[in-house]
Amino acid sequence: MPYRVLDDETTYDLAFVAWADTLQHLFRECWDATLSLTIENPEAIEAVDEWSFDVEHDSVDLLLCEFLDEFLYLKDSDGAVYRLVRVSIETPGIVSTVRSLVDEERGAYRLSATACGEPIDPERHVIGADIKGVTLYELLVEERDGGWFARVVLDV
Amino acid sequence: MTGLGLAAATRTNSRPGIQYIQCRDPNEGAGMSTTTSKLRDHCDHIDTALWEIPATARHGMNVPVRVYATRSLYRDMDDDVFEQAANVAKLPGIVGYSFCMPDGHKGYGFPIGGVAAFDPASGIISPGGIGFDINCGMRLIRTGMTLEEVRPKLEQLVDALFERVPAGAGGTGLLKISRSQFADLIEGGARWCVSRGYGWEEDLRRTEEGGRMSGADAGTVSSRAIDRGYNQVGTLGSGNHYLEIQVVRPENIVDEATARSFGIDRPYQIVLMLHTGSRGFGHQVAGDYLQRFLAVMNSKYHLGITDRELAAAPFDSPEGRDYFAAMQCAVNMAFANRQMILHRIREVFSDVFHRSPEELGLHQVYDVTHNTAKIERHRVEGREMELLVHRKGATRSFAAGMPDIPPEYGDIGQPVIIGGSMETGSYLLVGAETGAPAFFTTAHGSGRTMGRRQAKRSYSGQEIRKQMERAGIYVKAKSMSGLAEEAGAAYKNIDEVVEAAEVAGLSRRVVKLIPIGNVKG
Repeated sequence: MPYRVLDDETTYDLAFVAWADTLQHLFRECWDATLSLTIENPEAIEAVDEWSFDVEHDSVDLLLCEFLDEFLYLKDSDGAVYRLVRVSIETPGIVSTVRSLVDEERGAYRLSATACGEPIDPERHVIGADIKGVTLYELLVEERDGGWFARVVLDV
Repeated sequence: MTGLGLAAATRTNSRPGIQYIQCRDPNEGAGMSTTTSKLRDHCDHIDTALWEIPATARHGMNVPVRVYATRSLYRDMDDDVFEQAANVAKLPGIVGYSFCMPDGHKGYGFPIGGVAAFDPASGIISPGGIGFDINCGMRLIRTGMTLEEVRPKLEQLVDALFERVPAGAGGTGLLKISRSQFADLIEGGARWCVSRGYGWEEDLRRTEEGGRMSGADAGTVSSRAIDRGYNQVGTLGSGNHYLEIQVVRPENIVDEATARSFGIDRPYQIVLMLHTGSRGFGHQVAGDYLQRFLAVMNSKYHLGITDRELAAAPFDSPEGRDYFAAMQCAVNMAFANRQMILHRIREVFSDVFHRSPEELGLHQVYDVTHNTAKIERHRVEGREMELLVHRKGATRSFAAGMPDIPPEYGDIGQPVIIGGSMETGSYLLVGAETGAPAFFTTAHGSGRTMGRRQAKRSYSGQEIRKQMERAGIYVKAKSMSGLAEEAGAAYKNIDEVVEAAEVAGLSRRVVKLIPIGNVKG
């Protein structure tokens, strides 16, 4: 399993680390980790509804934060849980060391994703934590050893 | 008011009207202090339960840090708590001290148990200083019944409460309302609920702020937050949130006269305690503004804040004022949330005992928040000042004669409700005049000592349930793993926390409350 839920990262919340060969795969692992903390048998989630969304951000760690926030948004607004079907990330093309140029011209990471799921059914779904948010606490997304690594702390 | 739509909207999907905020400066926030010497080494033990770190201990501190703790609580505090309190001391406009309460532990940005007051003209407002579960708080309800009357129906009561008070992931609220009605609710708070028959006028009188902060403006809240909140009014949530049936054992009454004034007037009296907040809505409000503040705090306002979790804006700025108005919406949502759950408690008790809630004596003792920022008047160095007081995992604890206390408690002091772990019990306290140096604030709970996953690995939910049943506590939980995470041994000793608060003069003990039934998300 390319993600691992941490045992004692904080004394108040849930945390996990994830690693993958590409940024897309990393984001998928992070979605799966968040899902498995919410529903302990995610394989039981059926693809009743489909949801596509786009997020963009000029910071890759905050892009991950907002990507996972979409999972929480669907859980709270629709009472539903979604498995990720597809995610693609377009990375910034122009890199400049001049801050104003970075802000104005570099653009951002652009993420596009599709997820499928259904309303939570306590009869079939083993309910775990009701996660309220993704925190910035020690949030990390970085290239490491030719792949990608992330650390995420969730607020329950 | 500045609409949220003015910020860059970078999230799109097929649902119309969703706006989100972008951080423009991703390089901000290099993190916490990198100094290697421990702040604990700079701490002076200045009174029995009070420790002080001078403002000279770290570069940039504007005020000293004060930590309220007994020697053993102090010894067990994580080193990060001191660093976090020192980081708070560096924020612009802070007045007096950066405080940490006896149950203090590591939080996001501010420590949990952190208290900081800012000059509204020159100071900041920070979501990290309030907590993401805005107006997470406690409500205590007394009954006219005793253990003897309730014990035979205990399992039926807990099962019915578990069935009828939504909890855990996927639980939708007791209130079925539209998004536009929700916008009214977040401006009206518990008052909105009571005006529609979900409660009694006296409930409002016995709620901090009368159950409604008047500066709430739904126009400052994103539609995404409204989407997350409109079907969550009247839900318990999960984590450390609970609804508990408790008993007042005669040996646990510390101050009989004050207990009587709060309606705790017979041995083995049954009370109910409720712990929940503003759910995903409050989190979204805080998250939206955290992002918005990150974009402006250094580039526009030059606040020099390096920790992203301490993101802030000047209180007297468009961004600061908007957040204060949005935060009050979340405060009101949480008051309404607890009000709806109280309404449901009254229905369940009435159904089980076939008597009206009035006949059963289901009166609210008090509802108090422990995650807020409020404008209050306090004396600082002999001068009365208006201050923006941030309390994060800390409870307001007003003394007798102070404003915003229900008239019936006016000459007694404000009730303070402290939740312990579900195994060990909770407390009803009262505010004290000697709490003035900490802006009349005390602890909020017992504070974790063990990570959730570690607790889950150390205990099984089923074992905890059996152990609790052997101790006479009947528990129903949506999530067995969540139950293990809340094991009593994962928390600090509640007795020591309230004792430290009393020795420090922050509050006085009135009665300890022992659980007999518990509903958890």
